[in-house]
Amino acid sequence: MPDLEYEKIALLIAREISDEIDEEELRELRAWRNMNAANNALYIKLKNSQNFKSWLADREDVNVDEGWSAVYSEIKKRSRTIILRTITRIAAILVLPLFVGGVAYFYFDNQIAKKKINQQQFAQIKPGSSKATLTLCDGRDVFLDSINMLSLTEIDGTEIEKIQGEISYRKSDEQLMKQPVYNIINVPLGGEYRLTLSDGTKVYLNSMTSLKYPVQFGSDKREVELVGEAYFEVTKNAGKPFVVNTKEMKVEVLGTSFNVNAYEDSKNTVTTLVEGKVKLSNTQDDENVQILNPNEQAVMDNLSGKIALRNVDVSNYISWKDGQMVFYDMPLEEIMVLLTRWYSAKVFYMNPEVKDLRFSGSLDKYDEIEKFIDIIKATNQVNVRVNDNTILFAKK
Amino acid sequence: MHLSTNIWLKDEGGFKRFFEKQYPSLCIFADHYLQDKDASADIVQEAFVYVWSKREYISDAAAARSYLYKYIKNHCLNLIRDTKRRHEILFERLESPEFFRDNLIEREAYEIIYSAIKDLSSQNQQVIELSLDGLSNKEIAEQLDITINTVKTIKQRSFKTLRRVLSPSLFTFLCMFSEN
Repeated sequence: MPDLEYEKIALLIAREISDEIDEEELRELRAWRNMNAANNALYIKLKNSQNFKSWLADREDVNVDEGWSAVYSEIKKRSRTIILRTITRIAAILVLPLFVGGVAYFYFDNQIAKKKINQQQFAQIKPGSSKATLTLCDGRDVFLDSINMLSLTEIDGTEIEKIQGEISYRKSDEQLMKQPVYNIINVPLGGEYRLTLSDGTKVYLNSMTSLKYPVQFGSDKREVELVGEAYFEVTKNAGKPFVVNTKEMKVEVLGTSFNVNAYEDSKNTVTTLVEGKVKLSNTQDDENVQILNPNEQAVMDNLSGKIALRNVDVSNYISWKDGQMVFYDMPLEEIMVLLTRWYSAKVFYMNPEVKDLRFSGSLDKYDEIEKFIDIIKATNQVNVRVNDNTILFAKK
Repeated sequence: MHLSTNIWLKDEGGFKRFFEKQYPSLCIFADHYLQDKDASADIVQEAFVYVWSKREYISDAAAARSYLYKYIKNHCLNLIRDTKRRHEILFERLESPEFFRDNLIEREAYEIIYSAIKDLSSQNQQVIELSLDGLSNKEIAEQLDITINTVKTIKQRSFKTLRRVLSPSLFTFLCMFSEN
């Protein structure tokens, strides 16, 4: 049983004594008590003012100030070592065009002093976290976060389990419903989520992404619909091809790992293949079929429907699923589109020409955006300022 | 609801307030395992240091509480195991999910009641305590020699601020609960 249910019971007990409880809650509380002897015993123990008073006395006895100073001195000690580690890490990961070794030393040295002032500026901009909304077949929405456990049952009997930032579907052998039962998972801005479909296929969903899929696959095909970006590790099944439908492109595979980037506001639909083989076609034109091999990428122009193939370093395109953001020789504007899907920030360009400045680098998704800003500043190509949750760029 | 209120994660002032609210009753939670107040305080402090170090991965205060509970439970059990102070039958009970559950529900329920009554006068506190014992408003009124309306007013007033604080989280878990 999840903690959530425990908290619910605690709340019902508190509501009962304050006369706030309504009929339905009262019924729920009674049902819980009658479920087993242990529940009822706990209820009786808690609804006893002597027990509460002794708890209260113990609570008063606790020395909060002493506790805080112990915790505070420990976290102070740690933050000093973390700052040092961060600096070495930034220096190690990032290769930037105008970055000269000698300058780096002085720059970062200077940064430590500035760090305190900067921290306040960035308080409004947060990295994302595991979160999503699951829409069940009957239209109900369930909010998914990263912590609590949850289990649900769809109308066809399919069990859905949620553990931390992941939900998974169990395969059921009997086909209970004639029509497939669909679920939709929606990952908001600043979110990410993982999903295991009933055939064992793993899907990593990036921010601002939605995926529609049947909770059990039919007998001939495994078909899902994607808007946004997802990385698929498809379970092999030669008799049942796996098909990802996006607005403009259809990707068909037998068993393989690949990334599909199909955001609605983007010019291209991009499929990157890690292993196996996939077949791509334009949704408008089934004849125009392309086969993709490992380390190849298909970029489809959404307007013309033309598909171009190229060889790429796949890790640049799939590292987001492992908590990294990688960009290689990418215009600032595109980098900021990526970043603002994850960080809750807005971007403003004082001079449009800075949008085309190109940068390369990688960053840890869970880091504060401050680190990215520091690095952009260090290139000395553009002025950056942060104002509340807006990042402003201006030419030098 | 999606925008988590994780300000406490980034700034020490917020974290301190979070600590002050959570720490005392978590010490009791740990003490139910250890029966040793000093050792309990140590483990609870370590748990907060742990949560602080993992703050980038923790979305909100509810998630942090979940981490705290698990950390405290595991470390209390480890300590008992390591110090060989354990009594087999007793240890089996401490290790059971039911013990963790009962301990957690006690803390959550009493913490809610505590925040409702902490600013009340001792007579008004008695109203809540008698109510906890299952007495009806009429019985409470008789016992304390006040009117039924006074009993009702005291209950309403004491839980009023609480209602506002609780409603968003209540909403979240009512939603999730009804899905099961």
